[in-house]
Amino acid sequence: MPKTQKKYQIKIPSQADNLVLIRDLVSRVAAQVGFDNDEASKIELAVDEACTNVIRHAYGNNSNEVIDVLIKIDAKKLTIIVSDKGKGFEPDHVAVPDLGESIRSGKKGGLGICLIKTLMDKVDFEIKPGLKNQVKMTKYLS
Amino acid sequence: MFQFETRILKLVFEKTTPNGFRIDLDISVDHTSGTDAGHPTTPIAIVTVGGYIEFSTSDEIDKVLDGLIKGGHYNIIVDLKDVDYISSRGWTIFLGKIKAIRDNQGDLKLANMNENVYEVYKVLEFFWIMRVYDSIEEAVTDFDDNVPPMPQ
Repeated sequence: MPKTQKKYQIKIPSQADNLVLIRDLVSRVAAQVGFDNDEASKIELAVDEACTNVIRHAYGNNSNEVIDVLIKIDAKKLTIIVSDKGKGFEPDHVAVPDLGESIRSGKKGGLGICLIKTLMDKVDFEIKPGLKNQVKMTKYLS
Repeated sequence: MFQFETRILKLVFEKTTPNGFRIDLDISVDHTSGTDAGHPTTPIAIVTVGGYIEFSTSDEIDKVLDGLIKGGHYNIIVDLKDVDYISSRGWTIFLGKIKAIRDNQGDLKLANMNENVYEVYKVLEFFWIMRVYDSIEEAVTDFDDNVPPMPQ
């Protein structure tokens, strides 16, 4: 298994305004590792979706909590772990997006997990509500 | 409600976060209608958006589209030329308007997506619901030719 070469970590209040700061860090690190613009944008969007889920669902828009974003780099891949201590969810029970239902109901959101899974090469969840919920997203360098 | 007599309504949403980062979302609404060889063409609202459409900015677009719909403007083109990024919440804002628009024989069309935005459009399979155009002119032509909306 490749040895981790570098780690970056940001612990930041769970405010929507901070998403831009997280995206900026992620896109810079992705570019530095060697991902092209398209791949870096996908990684950036996946992390944004994960952090948005934390703000909205785990913390219920409470801006006094903390989002923990850990970025690990090795020779083969970029791994980003988004953690929170809020309300958990059952990843296996997240419904497959029904665009028809979104049209009929006008419901906002609900596509985030699907998008994360599509944009990243590997996604793992570890859910311990109130203790630590973790979304681990991996993108391999080609 | 938007009064198109003023021809152009420009709304600018700009916000500086506590950590000094600026989030821009520029929205302008234009109106096109006229005659083609003496025949009236379809009135269309063109919403030009720039910046990042994400969690903290998508509500602004929501309000603009709601305003158009409440004002009876059901033929809408969203010009995404200067949009860098649309998160899933942003996409569902568009989805949420489709029913009200199409129930009134209108349509919402998306134009000028950059490659990254188009990639997500494909990933989310929005091509089943909304057409995308390479230019505003193409989208306008579709309205004028009465090309039916995508099935819901």
